[in-house]
Amino acid sequence: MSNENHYYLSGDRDILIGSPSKLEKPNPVMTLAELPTGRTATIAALEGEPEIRTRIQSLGLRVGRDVAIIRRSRFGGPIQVRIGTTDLLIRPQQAQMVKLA
Amino acid sequence: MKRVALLGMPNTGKSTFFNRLTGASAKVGNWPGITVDLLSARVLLGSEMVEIVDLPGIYNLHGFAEDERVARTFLEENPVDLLLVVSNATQLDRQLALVLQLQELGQPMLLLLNMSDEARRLGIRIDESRLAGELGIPVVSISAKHGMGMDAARDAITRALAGAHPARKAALEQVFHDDDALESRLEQVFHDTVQVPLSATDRLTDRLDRVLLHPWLGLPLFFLAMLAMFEAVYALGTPLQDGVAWMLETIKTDAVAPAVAHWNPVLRSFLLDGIFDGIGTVLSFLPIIVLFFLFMAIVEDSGYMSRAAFLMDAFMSRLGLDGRAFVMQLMGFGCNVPALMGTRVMRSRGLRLLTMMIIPFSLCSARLQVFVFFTTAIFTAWAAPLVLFSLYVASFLAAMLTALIYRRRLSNDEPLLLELPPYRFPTAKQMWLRGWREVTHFVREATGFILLGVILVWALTHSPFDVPPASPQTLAGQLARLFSPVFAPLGIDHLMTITLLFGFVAKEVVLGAMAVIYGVGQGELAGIVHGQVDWVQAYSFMLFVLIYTPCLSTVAVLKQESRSWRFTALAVGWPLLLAWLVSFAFYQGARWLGF
Repeated sequence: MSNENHYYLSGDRDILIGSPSKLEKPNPVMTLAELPTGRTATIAALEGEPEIRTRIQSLGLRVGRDVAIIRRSRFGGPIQVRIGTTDLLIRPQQAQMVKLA
Repeated sequence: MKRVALLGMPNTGKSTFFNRLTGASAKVGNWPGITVDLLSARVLLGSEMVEIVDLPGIYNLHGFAEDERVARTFLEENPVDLLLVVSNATQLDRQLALVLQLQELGQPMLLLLNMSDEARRLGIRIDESRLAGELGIPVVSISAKHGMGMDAARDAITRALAGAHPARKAALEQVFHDDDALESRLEQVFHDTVQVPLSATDRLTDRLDRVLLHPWLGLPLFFLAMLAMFEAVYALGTPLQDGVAWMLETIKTDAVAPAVAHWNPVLRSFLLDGIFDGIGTVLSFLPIIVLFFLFMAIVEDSGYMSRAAFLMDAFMSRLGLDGRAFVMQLMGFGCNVPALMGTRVMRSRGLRLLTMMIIPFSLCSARLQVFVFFTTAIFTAWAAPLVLFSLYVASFLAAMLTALIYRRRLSNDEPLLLELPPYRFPTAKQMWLRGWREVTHFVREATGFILLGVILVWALTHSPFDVPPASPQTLAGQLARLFSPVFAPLGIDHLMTITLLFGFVAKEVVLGAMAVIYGVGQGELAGIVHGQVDWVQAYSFMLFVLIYTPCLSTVAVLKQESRSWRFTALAVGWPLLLAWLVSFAFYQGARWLGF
């Protein structure tokens, strides 16, 4: 999967010209790691190494499916997510690979 | 004989089904091309004996995990007549993916929808005959846990095997890797055949999790649960172990000793203090292993293990471990042997080996005996508990340090991706079967090794035979003198070095050996030790005993579980080095400070 298309350019392009630091930080697509607890969203893309992507996919986190955050553990620990009838634990690091629509 | 391969994702109740179908007759065996043991059993189906092989649970036939490689290799190397696939009926939205992948192999197949009772309770409706039609394979709904639909499943397997197709090996390289096409097919089949209500989650589980995974209550409750389990295992296990020890002692003194009274004294000692004690060592572990796995079955099958991971992962992931490793480490404080066997729940080999590296540092109940003796003999009544507590802290620190040092080398940083299944309670039969299987496995794999070690130490401490056993004149004594330059800087004299040699076999025998070496009864030992060593020497000795090889049985299980001599050597060698370094630093530091 390519890395393009994962960033939107926000606002008028012209404003950003001449300020490369702003170009570095356009509005990123929200990832599963950033989805607020209790909210549901649709999976738009999966990133990362094929090994990990395959694992994530075969546990049911597939493109087009709805995923909800049930709870987060403290101190930056794993996130409990729900896809259909399956509940999963995923670390924030891997949750970042799941891009949401 | 026809052969059936049992496949399915983890947490589908595949093993429960296997146990139901085969009973306790299953055996662990080797298969061509595969480095791990697989359970298999022969059952009578119809009028034919059929061999059922339980393959490891896999999420994805094309995946990269070790278990997935094992399953693939098995199917490539071993001809099978039928693929028996177990799916969790409540999760067909993702479980059918594996079914579709397996279908690409073009082998005869049968689908079992397990936990169909749970699915019904959640209001999930599956059109079984339409599913069978769309997939083109027979489909049977079962509940392996409660034994529902087992007859129908047996009939279906018999019928599927009756077709006269020759057994084939799977040609996986020819399998088309287009998982995306499978995905759209999956959506279609699922949409056509399964109806899921809007909220199909287990209410009870949600309610329990609100408490057990509570941001503030979760961790205290987890520690409480672990403490309760720990207490239960040892409250029940210690009397059982004592009972076994008493029984063995009675047999030894009342039956075996009189029977061999007229034998040559060397042969008699070899039989009584070598072989008999070796077998006794193996037997003394059995009650604790059975009990441990009874409770492990509850923790694991109930789904609480994943909750432990949720609660402890933030901390453990920094050490390259996960929450499950912490549970095993805690269990190691009772006895390292079953805790090491319990690491089998971990799918990633790297993670598992790293956990196996740190468990032997857990201050087990056998070591506790030695420490209680020393602390009460050497330290004042108010200092003794603090000293004991400091040893528990040292135990955790040694484990953490080891994890930090070896996390890069062993753990492959596989991401934690765990299912959080609804709470379930295992049946008594499942629990017993598990305990029984682990015990027979331990006896078969570890007995030879433990016996050999015990006999070796017997030989060292008993020859030459004309001097008192374990005295400085024996081979062990000479060995201790040889090593005195190594142990002198730790404040450990050569008499105590001999006890370290005994401690390698089992920490339970350290005090007994000490009494023999000092030539006193165990009652007078405290006074002797108090007069012979000061507190700095005693603490240095305890640190060494805490960190170095826990016992022969632990070494045997490290080998049995890792199946690697290299890893076993590392898991024995590193703690020896660490023990020396820590004791050296402590002893020299304390002396330098003027103590």
